[in-house]
Amino acid sequence: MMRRAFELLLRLGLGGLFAFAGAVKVRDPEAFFWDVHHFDLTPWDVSIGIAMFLPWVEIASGIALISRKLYLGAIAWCALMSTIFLGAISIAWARGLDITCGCFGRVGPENATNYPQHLALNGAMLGAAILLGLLALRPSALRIVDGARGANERPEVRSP
Amino acid sequence: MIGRILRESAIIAVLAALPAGVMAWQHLQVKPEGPLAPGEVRLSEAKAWEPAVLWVDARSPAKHAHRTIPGAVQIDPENWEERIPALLDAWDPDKRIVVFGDREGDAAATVALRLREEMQLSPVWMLHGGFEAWLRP
Repeated sequence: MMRRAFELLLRLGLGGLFAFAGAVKVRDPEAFFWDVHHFDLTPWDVSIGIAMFLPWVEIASGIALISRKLYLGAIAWCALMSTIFLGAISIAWARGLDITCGCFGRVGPENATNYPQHLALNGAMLGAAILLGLLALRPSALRIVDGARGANERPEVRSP
Repeated sequence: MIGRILRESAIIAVLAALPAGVMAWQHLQVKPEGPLAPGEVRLSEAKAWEPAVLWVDARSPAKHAHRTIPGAVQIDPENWEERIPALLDAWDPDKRIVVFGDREGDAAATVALRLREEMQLSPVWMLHGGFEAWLRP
């Protein structure tokens, strides 16, 4: 019961966050393109591709997580995107870039990215995706454990 | 299990690619350039003035240090007093001053206004589209 409630909370939280992040970027793709390009990690055309594609992957993954359809694929996308965001933000911080990350579009004041805060948020998102993955795969993991126990354990012999 | 993850990930990618394609089609068509605001100059025109141009970078010192227009002098409202001597050293009455910010925003407009009114420098232009105009291929 607790596990189900925890999973539901995690699923709705992570799914809602990704769907929201994608929706605000879709509203102004040009601004998001510049946010991506200012990371200085990708050429012009690749930044355009990311700006067009990434928000919709976020929305699709978020909705899939919330509705529990294509569930493992959505978890994989969320984990992958969180890892990429962590890497990009870390590199930008290491290079001392004074940029807006564009993580949530242009919601809120357009200040330079608060790197520790964004790293913590993306780390939490990655952690949540990994946890959801573990919870989703748990039945098969239990079967493996049960199988191993069955092979190694002797049947209990009861004395008459 | 891995096969299922890959299959579902691919379906999500395809589902995302469809609206992404429509959005790209809508946004990547060549649009006519927007009208110039008073005091603005287009990049092509400002480039034609070179070398008689003093580029003034009104973005933050960190952004200026990372990448800027070659030869640009950085000054913004935050470090005005500290940076004005360097700007006056680079200034030449025969040069036109072109101030740029990120894309749009108040910093470039504020710097251009202060250069005109406080420093009595002329002519002072603002770059249409800001530094992002310079980055466009």
